[in-house]
Amino acid sequence: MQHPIHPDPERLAALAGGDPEATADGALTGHADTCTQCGEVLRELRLLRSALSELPDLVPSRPLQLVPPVPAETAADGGGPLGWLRRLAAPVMAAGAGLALVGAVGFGSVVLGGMAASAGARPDLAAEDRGGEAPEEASGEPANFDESGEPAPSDEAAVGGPDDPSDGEDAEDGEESAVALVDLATPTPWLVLTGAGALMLVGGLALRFVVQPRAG
Amino acid sequence: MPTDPSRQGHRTPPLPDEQDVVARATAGDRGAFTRLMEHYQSACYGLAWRLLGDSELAADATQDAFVHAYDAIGRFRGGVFRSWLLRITANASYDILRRAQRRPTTTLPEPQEGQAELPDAGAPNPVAEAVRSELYRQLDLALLRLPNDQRTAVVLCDVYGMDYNEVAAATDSALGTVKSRIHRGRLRLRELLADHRELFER
Repeated sequence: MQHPIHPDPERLAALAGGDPEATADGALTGHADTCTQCGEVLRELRLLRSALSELPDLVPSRPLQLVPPVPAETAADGGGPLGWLRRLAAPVMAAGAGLALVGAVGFGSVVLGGMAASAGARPDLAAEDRGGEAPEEASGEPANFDESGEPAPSDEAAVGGPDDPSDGEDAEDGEESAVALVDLATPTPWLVLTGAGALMLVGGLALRFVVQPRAG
Repeated sequence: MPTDPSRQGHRTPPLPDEQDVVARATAGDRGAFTRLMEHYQSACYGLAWRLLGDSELAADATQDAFVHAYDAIGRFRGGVFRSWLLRITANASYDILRRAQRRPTTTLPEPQEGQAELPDAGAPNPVAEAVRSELYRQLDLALLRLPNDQRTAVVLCDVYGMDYNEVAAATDSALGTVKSRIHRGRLRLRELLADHRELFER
């Protein structure tokens, strides 16, 4: 039977899939039952749907890992003291690297500061070598006194004058070693810090790569 | 380019002792979980391939689904295990599809006409088997020619039996949108398969 007005094809597609709303639509089902054209569309859509529901499963293109490896490793890491130790590796390495960096920067700044101070002390020594008055440093201490306030061991040589050049050299060497002693004593905590950081870094690496969890 | 996938010839039926295996897997038995994944890998891969149209992406999606299933198996509270696993696979595939669509340079491969499968000579009716095999091949090719949103909806609903609500949840879409996609997809498939009507009449 020919009908002047056909339903929206999407309504037929809904009916073919058993959509409850479409199935309950009497006008739609009545039309599909009597209209040859819509009845044929509905029949084909139902055949199509039936074939789709039978499509077989497909064989995977490559072998698949059936059990994820990540949870297995997590379980091994989390179980027992070895796993606990391995989990400590990262924070220990991070802390060690931080300490070593801070120590190295501190050490470097102290040594550079010491070198600058010793460079600043040399003009005073030269002035004394010439027999003149040593200009006072900002602190008011004479340049040929070390930090302890004791006279420098080069006092005698310092007044020797330019007639005895070897004496003058001795005096200069003595002053340099005093500065070096000061420089070495001051940065010691920084060196200790750097060493401790390096030790922690090595310890963390050992925890990470030497301590292995049991397989499985 | 995707090649015609290797069809298993049937849908994977449930394991004879499935309830017991699922119960053990839920309790943390890795062996039981492995057995379930081994049994249903073709079902999961089939769904992923039909959603993505690419063997490598489908294998990746199936692999992702196994990881998600492993994480979630402890929360499985009964029902049909196959449907539960397929829902996870659909989500994993849809994630990959969305990522691919978000990157304009990454497009899913175009479907490629593959070779018709040879009929199983040992089958009771080799001719009928060959026709059925060709029907499945044409259906898969036609599905790949649908727009992504229609294909996803039709595959989940008509091929894997999900209802409108499940499809809406899996695709993060409104119910009305899902219905419209399914209905339009069916009509478009009918047009695409117009030259192969004889395959449906057998």
